[in-house]
Amino acid sequence: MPLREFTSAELLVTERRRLELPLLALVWIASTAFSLAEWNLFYLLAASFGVGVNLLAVLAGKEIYLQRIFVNLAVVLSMAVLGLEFFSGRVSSTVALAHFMILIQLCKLFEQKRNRDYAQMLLLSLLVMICGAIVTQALWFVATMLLYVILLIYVGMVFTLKRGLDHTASARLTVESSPLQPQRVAWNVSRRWPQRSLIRRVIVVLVAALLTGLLMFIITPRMEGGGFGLYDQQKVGMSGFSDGVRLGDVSELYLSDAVVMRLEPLDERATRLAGGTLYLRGYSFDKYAHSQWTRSAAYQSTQGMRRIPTPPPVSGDRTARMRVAMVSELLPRIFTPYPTPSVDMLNSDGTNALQPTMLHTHAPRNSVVGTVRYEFATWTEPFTRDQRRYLRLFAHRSSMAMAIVPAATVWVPRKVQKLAETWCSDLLEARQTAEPAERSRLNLQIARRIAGRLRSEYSYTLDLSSADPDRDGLEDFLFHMRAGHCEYFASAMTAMCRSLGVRARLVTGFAVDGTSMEDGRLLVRQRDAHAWTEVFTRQRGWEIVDATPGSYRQAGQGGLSGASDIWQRIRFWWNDRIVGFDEFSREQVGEWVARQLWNLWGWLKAAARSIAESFSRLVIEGEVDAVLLWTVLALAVLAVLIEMSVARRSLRKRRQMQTLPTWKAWQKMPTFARLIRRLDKKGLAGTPEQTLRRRVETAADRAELPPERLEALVEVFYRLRWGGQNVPERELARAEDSAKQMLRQLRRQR
Amino acid sequence: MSKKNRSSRKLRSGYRFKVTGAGWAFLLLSVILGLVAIKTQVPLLFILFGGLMGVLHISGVLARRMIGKISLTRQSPQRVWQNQAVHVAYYLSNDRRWGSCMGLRLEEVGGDAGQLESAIGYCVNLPAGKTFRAGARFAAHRRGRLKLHGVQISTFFPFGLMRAIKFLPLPLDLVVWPAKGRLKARLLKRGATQASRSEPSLTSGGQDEFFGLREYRPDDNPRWIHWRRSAGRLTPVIREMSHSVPDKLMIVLDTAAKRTSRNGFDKREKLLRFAGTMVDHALNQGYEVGLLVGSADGPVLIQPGVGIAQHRDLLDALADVPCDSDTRLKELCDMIPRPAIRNAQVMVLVKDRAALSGAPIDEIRACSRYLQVLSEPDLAEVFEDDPHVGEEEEDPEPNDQREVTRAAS
Repeated sequence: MPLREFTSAELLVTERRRLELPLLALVWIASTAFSLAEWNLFYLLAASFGVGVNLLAVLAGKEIYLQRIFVNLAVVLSMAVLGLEFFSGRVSSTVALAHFMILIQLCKLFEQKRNRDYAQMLLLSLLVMICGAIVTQALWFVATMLLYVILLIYVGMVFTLKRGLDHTASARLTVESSPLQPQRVAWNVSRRWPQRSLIRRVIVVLVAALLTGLLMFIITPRMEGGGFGLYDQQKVGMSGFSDGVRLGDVSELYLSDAVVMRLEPLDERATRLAGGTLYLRGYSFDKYAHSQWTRSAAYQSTQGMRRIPTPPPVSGDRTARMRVAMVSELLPRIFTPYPTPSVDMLNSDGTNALQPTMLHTHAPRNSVVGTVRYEFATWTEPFTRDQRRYLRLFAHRSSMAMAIVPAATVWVPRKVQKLAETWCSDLLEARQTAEPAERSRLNLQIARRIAGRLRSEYSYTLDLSSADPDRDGLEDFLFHMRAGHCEYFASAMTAMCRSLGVRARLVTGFAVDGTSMEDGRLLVRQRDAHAWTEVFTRQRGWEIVDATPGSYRQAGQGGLSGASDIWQRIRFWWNDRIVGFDEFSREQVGEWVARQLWNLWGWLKAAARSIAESFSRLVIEGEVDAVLLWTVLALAVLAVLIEMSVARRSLRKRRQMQTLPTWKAWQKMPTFARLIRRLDKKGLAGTPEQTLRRRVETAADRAELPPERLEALVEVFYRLRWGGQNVPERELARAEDSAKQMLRQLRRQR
Repeated sequence: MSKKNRSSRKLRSGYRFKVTGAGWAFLLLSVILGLVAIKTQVPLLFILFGGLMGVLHISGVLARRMIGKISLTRQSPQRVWQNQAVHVAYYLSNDRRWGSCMGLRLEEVGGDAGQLESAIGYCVNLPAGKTFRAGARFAAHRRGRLKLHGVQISTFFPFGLMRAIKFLPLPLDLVVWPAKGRLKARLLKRGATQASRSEPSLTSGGQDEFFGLREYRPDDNPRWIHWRRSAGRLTPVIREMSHSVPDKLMIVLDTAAKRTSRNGFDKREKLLRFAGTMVDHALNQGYEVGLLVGSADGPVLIQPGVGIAQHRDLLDALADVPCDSDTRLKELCDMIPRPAIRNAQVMVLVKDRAALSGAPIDEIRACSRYLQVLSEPDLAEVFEDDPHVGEEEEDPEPNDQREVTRAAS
């Protein structure tokens, strides 16, 4: 691998290092960001190695390169990798293309670089970043992209200047045998590198680009049905959104602060609803076997079901309205705390379905919806008779018929059932002889008893390292670990209830502390993900019974929670406002702008009307009111500002008119300039720090030149320099003649 | 409307914008990115698309601003040799109060600037209120008088996507002398009959000749005293010197030709180049050189002389030779002042020997000290032409005629 020293021309003229350092950074940022976006360590390491080696070489003032045949071979290999990735279908075409471009960039790094190669590297890195933007829209990537764009603008400017320099340095007329010496060109074109000017321009361009980008982002109409399907590969299971519960899967849980939802109560009842612990239901599970909860077929599909009856109309004071903005994570689920007859989607078009469990699901047409926004009106307790009747009717007409789910769907170890019977033996005996209504009440009591025992005898922990995967999860939790997180508690509770014939189900979702509301909004975070049990009662339908100890809420709050909180808020804002920006949001922004303009217009009209009224009052009644005073004051300030601006401009113009730059004044009197130079050469004209008049006096003494004529010449020069450009041409010509004569006299003295 | 005019857009008087190749590629990339954004509905791509369009727009705005308030003066020679690189200095002055100008390119445009091969002037950075001297070079590939209308200042800054162009009027009349070649033979013949002047010179110089001795006078320079001759005399004697009379060369150039064939044109131009080279060489050798050549207004006679002015006049006359002169050699020979060539070497340059028919050659031979007749084929033995001749030379056309042609079109 040869090393080549930069030639003096490259160092002097082409400003090679000024370009290569930021360019290498640019290449590294693009490759690294993409590698991290798809979490590919190979490309991350390869790019870091390539850039690092080049960086060391550049810092040493050298260029490292391979022979062309090896580079070409590497390009062929890259193409082969592209073909393999493309046809194997292991990665999407965008990712394969980005891999190819990263490899080509690496090849470019190790070949002798010319301007064409620099341009290609710039373009490739930009394309890699664009691919990255398609793959992920995470906030960290956006921050990286901002850094990348700043560097890109800087590199683009330096590259443009370098191209101009190179063009000048290599320009050769056909009549010349070789280009100019690089030193001469360097003197000719660059005395000092304009670093500060470039940085200022970078800021200007960045601001302009961002503003235009945002404007384009807002005004461009959105289409439905977009997407390359890349998101399908990212089915990240978040606790509150996961559609399965498996005990003993992980050894330790990390409670993330990520904001996933924002609730905004729209009325008083909703505010009260959110006042305590608010349970937002996601999925419900009814089948348990081998440490795993699953959903029966009726939950997963609505096919074959009877039509769900229309909920009865309920007066507004019996519903609570809430607005929700929720990270969709590609599986948008409508979270509502209670039976919810109506859900109005605000930003997403798609299929909205009410499931037999009274849970809404939503399937947006556009798979890239970042945030789902909706409003729901949920029933609040106490339910009316009609509401209760509807719930009962619904429960019976549902093909799933949750109330008569056979207990066999839950496979509970015998030890667990025995433990449950031990805990609730008295209640079980009472239930055997009770009336159906009483049985329902006793069932609820059994559930509460089990929950109470679990809360008091078992502890909450996120460390599950002692879990034994060979045992059943419930058995392990109840008889060995005696500690676990919410899924263990809810699982144990549900399974024990079902083993005792109590109709119960496991529900996952979010449980939020309603007291943490800020500015009328409630932020739901990832750490609020929760699992609990719902028990069916004849009177109230599904009732929440939470067996998890209350200590779980304190978990996950560390020393850096403040910074983490801010970051998570920004992330949510990004997902909510930018990623989730759609046609609805666009219309909203348009309406907002129109509203503001209309308000401004109204304000102006009102102001004009009040000023007119004040003025007429002044004219008719001679009264001066506050509006008039303020108007006069504002006009006076405006007049003063205009006056100052005009005066400043005219002063500047006058000053410019009166003075002339020294070099221009000398240009108008070239012979006088030659005379002074000759006097300087002879050492007759005093010292340079003297004024011109003083120097001329000295020269007149020493060189025996007529002092009065020299004085006249200085007068003319001073008038040119400071007195404006009003020296008549004839007078100027006379002065030049006089200078010419003296110059001749000076030559004769030699 | 020509293609060039279509591609550029005139926004305001004096300013033009031109999208470069890189700019078109950038625009294409932006459009593709916009389509991808619409297809994928990825918000970040919308922002990127807008950002790229913004960059394209701000390129034009910044480029326009870079060349906004710039004043320019040019320092250039007014006479140049054909096919020789000429260095030109441009004094750029940024008259703005703040904001530097970057990536400025300067090139001659307008008039006959197309006849020049230019290496543009370039300035990386011109801070506000400062002046910078940028150097450029050009070479003229055609002899004659060129009219340059002004300088075009442009910049690709900041991204090379768009070029803002401004024209600054700086008229310049440029006289291009015929290209200088190399003489392979000694064509100048020494040996004038009268080598020195007939009176002593007032000043003495290194090439002066001894004239005589005389008695010292009070105003004489004591350094001229001839001490050996003064020895034993009451009054010292001093040396008197006289200037040597330079040899004379009279060049008679037959330029009669019609623009019929490229061959005839090339031959005539070669004669002109030889004549120019000869003039320069002879003047450098101390010859008094005169010239007789045909012009658009008839024969032009320049009496033999020396000095810079003579050098300029002779070469200007050669530069001004029109492409279709009908002055015959006989007319030229008739115009030669016979007393002037009495002690001179006369060099008659003709395209071919056939042109000599009817010309009083013998009479001139009799009048002059030495007559030399050279035809174009003979030049191969005595003259090595400029190696760059013919690379970009075109059939010269009189400026006024070209103006007429352009107006008619």
